[in-house]
Amino acid sequence: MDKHVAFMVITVFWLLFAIIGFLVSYRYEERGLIRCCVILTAVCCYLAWMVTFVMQLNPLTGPRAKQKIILGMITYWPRSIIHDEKDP
Amino acid sequence: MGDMFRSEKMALCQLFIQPEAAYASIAELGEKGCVQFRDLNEEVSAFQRKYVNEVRRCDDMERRLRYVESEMKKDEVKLPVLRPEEEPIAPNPREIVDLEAQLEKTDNELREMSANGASLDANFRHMQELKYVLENTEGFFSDQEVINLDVNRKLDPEDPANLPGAAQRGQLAFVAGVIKLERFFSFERMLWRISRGNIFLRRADIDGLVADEETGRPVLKTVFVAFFQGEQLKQRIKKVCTGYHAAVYPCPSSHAERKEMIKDVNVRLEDLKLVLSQSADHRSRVLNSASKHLPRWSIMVRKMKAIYHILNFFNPDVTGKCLIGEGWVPTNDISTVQDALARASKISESSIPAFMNVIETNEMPPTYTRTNKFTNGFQNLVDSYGMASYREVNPALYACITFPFLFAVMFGDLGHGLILLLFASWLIIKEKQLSSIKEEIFNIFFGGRYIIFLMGIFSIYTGFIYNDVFSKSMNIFGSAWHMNYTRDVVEDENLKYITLRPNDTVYKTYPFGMDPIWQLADNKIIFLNTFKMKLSIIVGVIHMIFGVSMSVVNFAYYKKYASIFLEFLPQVLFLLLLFGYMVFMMFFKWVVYNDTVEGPLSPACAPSILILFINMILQGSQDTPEPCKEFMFDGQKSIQQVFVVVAIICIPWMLLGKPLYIMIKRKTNGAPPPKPQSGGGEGHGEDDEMGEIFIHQAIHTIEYVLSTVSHTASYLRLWALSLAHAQLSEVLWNMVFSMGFKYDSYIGGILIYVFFGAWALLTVGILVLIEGLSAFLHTLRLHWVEFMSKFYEGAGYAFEPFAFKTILDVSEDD
Repeated sequence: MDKHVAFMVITVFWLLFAIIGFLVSYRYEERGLIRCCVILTAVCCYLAWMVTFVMQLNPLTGPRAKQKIILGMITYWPRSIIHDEKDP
Repeated sequence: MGDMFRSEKMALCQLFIQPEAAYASIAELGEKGCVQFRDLNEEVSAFQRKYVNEVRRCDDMERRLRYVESEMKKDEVKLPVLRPEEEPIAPNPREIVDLEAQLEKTDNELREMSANGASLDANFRHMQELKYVLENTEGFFSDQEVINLDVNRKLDPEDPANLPGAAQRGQLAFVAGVIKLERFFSFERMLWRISRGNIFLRRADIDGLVADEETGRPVLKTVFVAFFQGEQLKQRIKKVCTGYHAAVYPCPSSHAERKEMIKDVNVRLEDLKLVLSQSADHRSRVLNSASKHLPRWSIMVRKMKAIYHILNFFNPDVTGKCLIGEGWVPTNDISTVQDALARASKISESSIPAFMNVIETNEMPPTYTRTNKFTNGFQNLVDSYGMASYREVNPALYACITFPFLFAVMFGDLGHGLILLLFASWLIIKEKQLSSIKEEIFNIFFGGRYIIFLMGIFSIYTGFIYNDVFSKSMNIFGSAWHMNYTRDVVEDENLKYITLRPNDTVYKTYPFGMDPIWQLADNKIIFLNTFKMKLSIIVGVIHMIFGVSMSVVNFAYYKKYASIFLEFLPQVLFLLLLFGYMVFMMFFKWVVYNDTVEGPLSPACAPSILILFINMILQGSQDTPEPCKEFMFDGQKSIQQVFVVVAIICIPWMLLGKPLYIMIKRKTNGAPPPKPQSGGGEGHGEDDEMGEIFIHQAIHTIEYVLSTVSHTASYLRLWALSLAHAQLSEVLWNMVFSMGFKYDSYIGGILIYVFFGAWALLTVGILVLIEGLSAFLHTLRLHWVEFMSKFYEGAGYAFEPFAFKTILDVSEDD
């Protein structure tokens, strides 16, 4: 559920960025230039984000970390716990 | 102003101007700067043109101005800097005579003062040296009298043989003068030789430096007196003095006469000093009064000369009553030009107003793209590759964003991007002050300040995407990975590392950018490489598709509709069916394969995109163990075969489609007879040989097919540069800055300070400047070769209007 929310939020953001930029450009003389820059910015930034997001959607490999790093993660990052149940 | 999508529409205009209004008309057009005049008298030599005398007069005035300016530089007179609003307009012909007379007067006055000053200076120097001689020889003569007395005293009055010798020794002669100290010693040796040692030479150095007569530079000099016997020796000594450039001065031997002469010389020195002082004051006043006007005069003369130069392009009418000129004018500026001509006619009180016709022509107009200070940098980047053909699609419009974006994909680091942003912001905020700096390297940065600004912003964005701040990651949203192992496992002393498995340690997707855990992982490079390679290919393929699509816009505009079907369609199909399909496979793999299921879609069975692609082209296959499948989805093999076949069909389609179409069309039109080409026209006329058309299309097709493959690989530089940048940043952190963290107590604090300085210096020097330049050049190549080669012809020539602003800027650079 989290991933869908994140996807929708970012997509809507860049869509609104493009639309609002398109509308704001009419106030200026160089509206063609501004419109082109705004839409291209939205497309490029969305593409970079989207590739990164989709690439991490279903990771096929995991990170390999040293013991020190693991202990650090457990200590400082939330949702990283040590438990006594059997290993999965 | 319109946008930059295409160059401006241009019109070839014919101007008819009355001779008495011609000067004022060209002056007005020069201020506007929107007409590129053509030379209608190319076959006429420079000396036979109508206004050659006027140009010579301007040359003369320019020469005088240069002389006056050089004199001002000698006296270090400061020239006032003209503000743009203070800049004078071109003078009218009546003012030219006044200006010429004034320049001549100032020039002659300065030359006369220079000549007089030179002779006065020489006189002053001579008097000063004479004074030195008279003062310094006082000791010489006193010493000589003592020697004479000694000699006389030693003689025995009773000895008759010595009487004639004693009389002769009392008659010693001498020569006194001034010579350079550096020449004195060889001068001394020479005198000893010619006199065979029968000479007595004394010298006294002059205190301080004296101006040299020949070069004007300060040198050390010395006063000398040579005592000798005999008139013959005197002549020889004087010749030696002349040869050594020693100035010989008259010097009476008696004390009383010397005193009198010193007094006289002092009086004359005072007089000369007064005259020199007054001359210097007068010269200073003349130069200062001229310096107030010199910048204005320079500009006026340059404008004048430019106007007459343009008037020489004009043709007189057969009746001799008006001048005819031709030039290119942007269509949007035609009314501006007409207003300027009307204003000029009014100024010069011409009875018949000048007017302008628009001529129809087949000639290729010059290319003019209207830019502002923001777009000027990007337009310059594109124009460096080639000037767009007339009305061709302008890639600079899209380069305003794609250029900094591709740079940022390579340079992506939040910290480094921030440095770029701050530097560019400083350049932009201080725009007015910094624009007057003329240093060349700085001007390159200043000219590209908006490019650097956008590169900084986009680098900050990709810094967020890569989650990279000086090689460190931020954990803003909480990592998607977490530990899920028992305490015994984690705390085992023999444990070296753990590889987290996605199935049971991932509970969400990091919403924005790269998960921070990868910065801590040992297999970071392997993981990031696959990510950045795919990102590079995806961005590259989309960029190329966009470029090929631009050719449709060009074809439609130039009404080459057949090329849309015969060139664009096979090109875009070839690109999409092969490399677009590869991009699709990348996304499919990311979305479908995951670690939560067993069987064909598990990570172990995920196929390599590259191997799949190669097998697709070569119709190969590979063994796959159970339960994995060779293909990602059902029917993929058939789809791939269809794609490859269609892509292969596209090649002869590109190769033969257009030539065959032209051949058929010519047969339909009945093969018109060949005509001699006049006026150039467009590149491919109807008279081209069919063989040449086939060859040209073959070259074009081969180039496109091969370049599609190589350009796709070329976009991998986005990954390579990004990897290099990130690793260099990490090396700097680990091997430089981290060294400061290893020490305790106050020593550690000092060392951190020192290491931070070194780290900061290397970060700016290597990672921002050198790596930034590298990323910039690679981005430039990706635009010039990979993107623009898809559609850009670049066969135009620049619109160079007659504009005083341009002429004055060029003159300032000289």
